[in-house]
Amino acid sequence: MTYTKYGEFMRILRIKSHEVMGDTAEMLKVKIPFVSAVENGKRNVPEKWIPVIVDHYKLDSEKKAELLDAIEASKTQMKINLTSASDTQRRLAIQFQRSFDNLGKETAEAIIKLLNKEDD
Amino acid sequence: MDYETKATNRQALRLYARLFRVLCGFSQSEPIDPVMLLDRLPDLPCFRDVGYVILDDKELPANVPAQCIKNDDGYLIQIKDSVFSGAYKNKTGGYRMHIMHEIVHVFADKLGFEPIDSSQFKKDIRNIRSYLHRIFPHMPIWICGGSLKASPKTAG
Repeated sequence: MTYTKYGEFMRILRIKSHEVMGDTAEMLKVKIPFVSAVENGKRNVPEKWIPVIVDHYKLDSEKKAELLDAIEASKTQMKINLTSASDTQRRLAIQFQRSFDNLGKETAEAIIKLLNKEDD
Repeated sequence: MDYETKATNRQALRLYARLFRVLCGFSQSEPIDPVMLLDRLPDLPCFRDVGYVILDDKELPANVPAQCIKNDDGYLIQIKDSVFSGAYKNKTGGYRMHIMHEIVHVFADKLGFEPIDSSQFKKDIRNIRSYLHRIFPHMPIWICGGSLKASPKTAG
C-alpha cells in the first residue's frame, strides 16, 4: 500500500502536529472520505486547499515548494487549455490524449527529451 | 464467523498483546489511540506495508464497519466514515475498537493467523464453545482487548 506523495506529505505533517485525518477534514471544511480519496490518489488536490494548508501548518517557502511538488506528482488528471492553440498544437494534444494509455517507456522518454530541447 | 484459524491459548494471546505494544513503540501501560496509530503505521517496521482509507458508508456492506484487505502491495484498512468520525469526534469506544481490530488483523496475519476456509468448521460452529479459540475474527479481538486493557487510562 503506497500513499501518493501528497498523502505522504500530509501524513507526516499530521503526525508532527498531533492531528488525525478528521482534523484535516475540519480544517479544509470537507468530508473525511474526500480527504482520504485525495490522499490516496483517487482525486486531484483542489487548488483552494493550498493556502489553507500553508497557513494552518505555517509552512515556510521551502516546505511550501515541497507541498507544491507533492501535489504536482500526485495529480490524477491534467487539463490542457486549447483556447489559443494553433491547429498543429490541437492535433498534437488530441493525438497525445489518444496514444497516452499505450505509450511505451522509450517513446515517452524520447518525447520528454524532445520537448525539453524545445524549451531550451 | 465462517473461517477458523490456527489454535492458540490465552497465555500466547497475552504475549502477543505485549509484543504488539512493543512493535508499535508503546510502553506496556500507556494508552493507545487507534485513530492516531493509523497515520503512524507506515513508520513502524512491522507495518510499513499498511495503508488506510475512509469510505462513504454506502461503499461497504451495512454489517461491515471496517475491513482489512490483503493484496500484492500489502494491507489496506477500509473504514466507514461513520465509524472513523465516531472514533475521532466522540471517541466512541466501540468505533475505536473496530479500528484497532483491523490494525491487529494485520499483526495477526503476520504472526501466521490466516483464515482457513473449512467446511467441517462451518458444520461444527453450532458447538461454538469448543471453537472459541479458533474463530478467525476472535483472534484480533482478544489481542485488542489485551493491548488496550493494559492501560488504566484507556477510556471507552
